Amino acid sequence: MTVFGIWLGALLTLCIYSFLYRDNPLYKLAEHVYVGISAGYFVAQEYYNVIYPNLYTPLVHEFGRKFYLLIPGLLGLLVFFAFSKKLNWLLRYPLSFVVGMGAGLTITAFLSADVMAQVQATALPLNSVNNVLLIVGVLATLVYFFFSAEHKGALGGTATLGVWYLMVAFGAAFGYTVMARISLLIGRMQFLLGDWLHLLK
Amino acid sequence: MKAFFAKLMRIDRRWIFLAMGLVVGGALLSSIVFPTLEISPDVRTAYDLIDRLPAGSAVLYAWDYDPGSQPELYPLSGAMLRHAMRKDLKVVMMGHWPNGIPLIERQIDEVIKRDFPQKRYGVDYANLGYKSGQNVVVITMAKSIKDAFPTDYYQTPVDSLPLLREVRSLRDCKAIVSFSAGDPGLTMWIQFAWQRFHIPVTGGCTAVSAPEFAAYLQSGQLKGLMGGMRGAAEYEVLVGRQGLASIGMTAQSLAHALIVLFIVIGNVAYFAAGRRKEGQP
Repeated sequence: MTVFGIWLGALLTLCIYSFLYRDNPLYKLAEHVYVGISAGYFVAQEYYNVIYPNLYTPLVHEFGRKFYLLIPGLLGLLVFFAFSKKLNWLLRYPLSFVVGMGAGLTITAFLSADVMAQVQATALPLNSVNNVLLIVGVLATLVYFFFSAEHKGALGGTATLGVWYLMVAFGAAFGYTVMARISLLIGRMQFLLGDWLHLLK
Repeated sequence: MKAFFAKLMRIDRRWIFLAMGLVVGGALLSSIVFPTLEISPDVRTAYDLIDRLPAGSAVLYAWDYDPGSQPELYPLSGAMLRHAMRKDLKVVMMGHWPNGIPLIERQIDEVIKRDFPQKRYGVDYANLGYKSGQNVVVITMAKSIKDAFPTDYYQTPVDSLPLLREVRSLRDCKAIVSFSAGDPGLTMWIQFAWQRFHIPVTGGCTAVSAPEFAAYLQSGQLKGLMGGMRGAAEYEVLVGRQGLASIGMTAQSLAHALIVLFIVIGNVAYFAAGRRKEGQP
């Protein structure tokens, strides 16, 4: 990274961190610069990595074999009718295509990876403490989300156990979240103290 | 004493931010290094998956993150890239996050060009760059990489790269490694590359998303996982080269100790000052 880039990055980092003291114009400036540059960068990457090699080049150089690419190209252009008050109904065609295809692909993938494989992995022999804990946890948590009967008696006790399992899961998730946020602070500190101020060995 | 605890309950949270900043900064500036980390089974599994591949095997590395998750995932992708280069694996690189692609370039400079100068672009490794489309890209790559990526990151036709003439499809890769900051990332690779084509999937994720992958690990759909900076530090230990994650773990541990201390003080103050009634500030 160039010296200018490091200084710019360091100053923008400090602008963002100034929010910890209180909201201020420098924070707002850095926030808007980040959003603007990210959006611009995304558009450029999309053009050079997707539209140019996958649509423009084949249509120009191999039209005879790849003429069918006109269809996705046309569907893509229809998206811009979202800005027209009279013709915005044309947007429905590309959207219906994306939603239909996305749902078709995702539902089968989700069922196999997140339902069938998980059910299969839970059908375990009760021959170890881990297996017992896992199966009891799955059943108790499922019972907690069973709302067709009042949670009383045995059902209520099992549901309470399910709540305890959920609490453990939330605690683990929160602990990991703290670790993630501290990691981000460490990363910025390494940049400020190392790359910028050269204080780290 | 009660008044002191009551005052403690109303402490300006900016003092806590300051304390955290001082602890993390102080830990980085000091030369304190905590003992070597114990390697968790999930990290060992991921390491073994890469380590046991025969030299010359092709692997796909996906940089599915952007600079926002750099502190957690950049050290890991560097350590895993170094491991692959040492093992003489052929690495095909790509990413589903447009803002993350420059990080691939930076890592090629820092790891491959600096420490493995004999490795040749297009023969030992290739950078395909970014492609939108998420799961459609994965399915297309399983049919033909060229259909998804007619050119590489530098706009060179993939046909002209010897590596991509050997690795024509995702099925030619012996493993997929995703450095994942969310969606698209590891979940998508598991759902599509593993479930449909049975290509082993491993990788690292941000600590926030680590718990959600426990189910995939337990069901055997994910072959090992490096969660957050700690996972990256463990992998650095296995590779035998301490990097940013290992250095950061001392600061991480001290910051966690400070948070535990704050929680204890907060609870002591809460009970000592007397419980507040509902709605009372």
